[in-house]
Amino acid sequence: MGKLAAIFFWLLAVVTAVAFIVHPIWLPELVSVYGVDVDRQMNVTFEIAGVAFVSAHILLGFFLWRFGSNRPGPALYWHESHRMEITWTLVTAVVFVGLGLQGSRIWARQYLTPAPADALTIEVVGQQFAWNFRYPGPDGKFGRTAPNLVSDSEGNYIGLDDGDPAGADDIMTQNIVAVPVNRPVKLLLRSRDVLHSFFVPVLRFKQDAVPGMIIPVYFTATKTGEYEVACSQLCGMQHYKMRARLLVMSDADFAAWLSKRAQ
Amino acid sequence: MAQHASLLHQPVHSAPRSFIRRYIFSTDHKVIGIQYIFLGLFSAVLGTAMSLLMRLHLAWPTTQFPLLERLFPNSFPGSIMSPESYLAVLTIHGTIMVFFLLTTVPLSGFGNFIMPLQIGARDMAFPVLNMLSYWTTFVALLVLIASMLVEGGAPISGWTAYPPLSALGKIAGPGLGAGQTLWIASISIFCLASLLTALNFITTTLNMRAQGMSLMRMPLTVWAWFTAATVALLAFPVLLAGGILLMLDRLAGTSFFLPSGMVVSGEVVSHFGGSPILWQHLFWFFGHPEVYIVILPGMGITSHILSTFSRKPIFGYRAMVIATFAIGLIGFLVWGHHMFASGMSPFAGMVFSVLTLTVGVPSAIKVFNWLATLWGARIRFTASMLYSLGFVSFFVTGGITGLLLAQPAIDVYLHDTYFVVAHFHIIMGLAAVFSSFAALQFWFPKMFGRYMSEALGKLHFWITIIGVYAIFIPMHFLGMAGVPRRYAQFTEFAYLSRLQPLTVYISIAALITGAAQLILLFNIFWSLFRGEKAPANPWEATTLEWTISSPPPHDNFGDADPIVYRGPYEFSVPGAPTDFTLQTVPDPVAASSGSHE
Amino acid sequence: MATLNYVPPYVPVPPSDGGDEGPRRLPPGTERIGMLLLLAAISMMFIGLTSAYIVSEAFGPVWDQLTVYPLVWVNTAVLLFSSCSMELARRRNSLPWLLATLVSGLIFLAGQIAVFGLLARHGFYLSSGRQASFYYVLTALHGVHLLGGIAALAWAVFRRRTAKLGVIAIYWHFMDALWLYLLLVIFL
Repeated sequence: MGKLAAIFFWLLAVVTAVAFIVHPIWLPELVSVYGVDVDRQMNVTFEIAGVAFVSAHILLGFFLWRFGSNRPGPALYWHESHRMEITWTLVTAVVFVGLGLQGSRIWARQYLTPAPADALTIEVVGQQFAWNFRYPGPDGKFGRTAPNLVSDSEGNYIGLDDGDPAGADDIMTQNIVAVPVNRPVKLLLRSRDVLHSFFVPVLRFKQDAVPGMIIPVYFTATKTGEYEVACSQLCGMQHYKMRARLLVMSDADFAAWLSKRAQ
Repeated sequence: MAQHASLLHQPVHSAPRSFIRRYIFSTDHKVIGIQYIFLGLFSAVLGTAMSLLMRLHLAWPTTQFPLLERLFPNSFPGSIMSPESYLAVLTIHGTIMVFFLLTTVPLSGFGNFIMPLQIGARDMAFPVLNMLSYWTTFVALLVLIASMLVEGGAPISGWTAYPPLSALGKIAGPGLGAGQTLWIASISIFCLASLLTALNFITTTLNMRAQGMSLMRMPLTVWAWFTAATVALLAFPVLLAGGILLMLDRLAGTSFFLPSGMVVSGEVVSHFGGSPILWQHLFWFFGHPEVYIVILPGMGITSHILSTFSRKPIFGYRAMVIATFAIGLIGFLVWGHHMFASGMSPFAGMVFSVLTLTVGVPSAIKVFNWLATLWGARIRFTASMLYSLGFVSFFVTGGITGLLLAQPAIDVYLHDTYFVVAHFHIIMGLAAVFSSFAALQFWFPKMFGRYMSEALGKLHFWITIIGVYAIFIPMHFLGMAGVPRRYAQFTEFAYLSRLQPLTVYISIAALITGAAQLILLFNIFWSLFRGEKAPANPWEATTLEWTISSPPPHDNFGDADPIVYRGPYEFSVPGAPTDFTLQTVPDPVAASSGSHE
Repeated sequence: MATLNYVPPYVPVPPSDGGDEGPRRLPPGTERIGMLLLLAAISMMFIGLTSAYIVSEAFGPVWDQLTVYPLVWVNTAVLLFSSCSMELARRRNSLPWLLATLVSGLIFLAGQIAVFGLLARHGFYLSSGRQASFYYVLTALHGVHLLGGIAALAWAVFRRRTAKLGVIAIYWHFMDALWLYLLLVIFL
């Protein structure tokens, strides 16, 4: 039985390692500047995790293979080694905390630095079960909104105040958002009702939309195309259908798209 | 208070005679432990059934299942599971598994039966409180089941019940009315039950040990239960606090978690000043220590069984004790790693990240010590040994993906995807459950005086370990591809429906592995009545529970209290006549030289 | 690491004789440990709630400042008195002082309910804003726990038990200290 168990754990280690190295199903294509660091850190972490996983299982299998009860002689009455305890504690601590510090640097570079000043600002308002987007228009200012002005039947999903001149040129869309390629984009995430989360896998981007808060986050998309946005915070019955489309286009196409929407 | 009454005026240790006092409202820790195990078993069956319903819908979302419509007409309109039913099943699955299986069986189940025996006590410190703990847990389970049966059904907000969704009531969705209220009530009642259990465990361990049973001679199982109980004592009250505030937001118009300006289902909701993130802080301040409450007993059981069947003392007993404490303590400082994408301050995220990676260090130490225990061993491959080896494997596999999730830069991508689902199922569902399988196979003879079938145990082990790895390792790839959690189906997104074949494969593996659990059920119930009779010490083990009959007498140790002379893992002691030495065997050489533990 | 090797003084338990026996003797200090653990758990709940209160200040404007009615100070004085009478009852094994503690506790609770009434009459309800909500919740929870203590006192009075009141006394003093802590948090 010991040899069978050993073979099982060795097979497990090899098959899993191969599966993760070959990874037939893996991260989607990368389309953001920040995501380059994220993907690299993921690979480094997987390598370390993989080494730990494989070596633990190889050792485990080896011990099970070798030390069955039919091996002659008594078991080894050895149960303490301060030197080993200290060694493996230190090595683990250095590796784990080192990973953490490196990961934190990447995180800080993105999340503890404000968005570039020339970022295009787009407001995102999640609702059950759609994503609303708002561009500030030529005046660069968002008009006032109020909850009591919300009217789904009239298409005023975010409660825009018609009386506010700053809002007159605001451009609103639902479930579709376009951004220019290679330009920083700042999203102001809001929610109209419950928690939602704006998840764009290709950008390696995710941020909860919290009612009562306006959360700024930014990204720079690096490749044109159409990508999917999924809600990733359980928001009710139709959580699985809360989908938006992200269009990344050239500057010219973007300007054209925007002016068409403005009408 | 109640315990004073019990101490002064209740003749606790007369053997009760009526059926009700012996088996229903018993204050005997052994009966209570078994009651908890059966409650956990029932919860496991219900929870597993729920998971299979979920997997069925995920794999075949547009297929009709007329039989299911006949059984559950409200949930399967047109013979297809409705999205709200999917979420309701998801919520109950998570709740019943985390609380009523994983928090009860390893700690309140096996701990109750075994811990007093292992320290040489006649019972827990507060037996009446112990009985109340069990029946309070039972009531909590009834209330949870009731939440499925009221109008609107069970809540759809997940076992984490984040507001505003869980606080707004029916306008935010079905099941969020009476169902959600009952859910909060159930969890709150469970908090009280856990508090009583924790009280009992800690007091008993501190004050009821037999002569010679110093702290450093306690089996690692006792250390594990003690630490888990301490964590429970300090963590569950915070959940209760959150639950009270959530209930008030729902029923009394308060705004602890609800901000102003919400428009739900077309109506403006009048709340102001609250924050949904506050709930997350309160919940996860409990929620993260909770997973250590689940896994610490499993680690202790694994150490114990690995040592026993390796015929070697556990390697690094002292380091294991320190690591257990470290996990319990640092476990209180890492809750924010559930909230990297929540809107919490990014700086706080960095702090939580480093602390989370720190808590991985004592966990790794335990793995090293388990491996070192196997070095030079003479391993007996019983079913419980196999399950314990499985625990080591699952703990490594599940723990290692924590390295990714602990780093916010990586976690914001993987958060709320199937990568997390795979991670916590391997650690909670597989590791913790396998430790319970190991414990069951190991202590069943002591509890019931009969062996479980070794052959069926081994068969169950092999099918299950292959099956669950076949389910959950591929699931990581779904997460890497960005498949979100808590989606009733993957039909609405191109990038998700492309992955449907993998989803189908996982569901098929789950159905097969789920069916294989019938082997275990059969083994348990058949062995209860027809298992081969077991002697006092069937495994040739060393701790105190093996010095008494199987099953033990009502007052555990008969006329003479045990006296302990040595440590708990004295296997293959050089010069000893057998390869195991019970803790009660005096050794004049060892006793005089300050006792080698 | 001497404490880890400490074995508590051993109290042998009389052997079971299968029939009715007298009360089971626990090693000394067992009930006290249980009580301290209970208080640790209760503390964690109130720590959770009070930190929620403190943190929630950042979420939005504080609409209403609760006035501290004089009745609140009267109640506090009554509770402090009850702690003194509890100590006297414990040290002197005195039934009258025990009764005084019980009565003071009831007066305190009645006073707290009266404060609720005052608040309501001035328009401060449970849902009236952050400070009011937390005041009601914290005070009510404190009252519920105090009621538990009152029940224990009532049982002790009923049983004429004046010796070994130590464990009840610990609980009672803790409730007093908790009340002072809550006052500090809410009104400072």
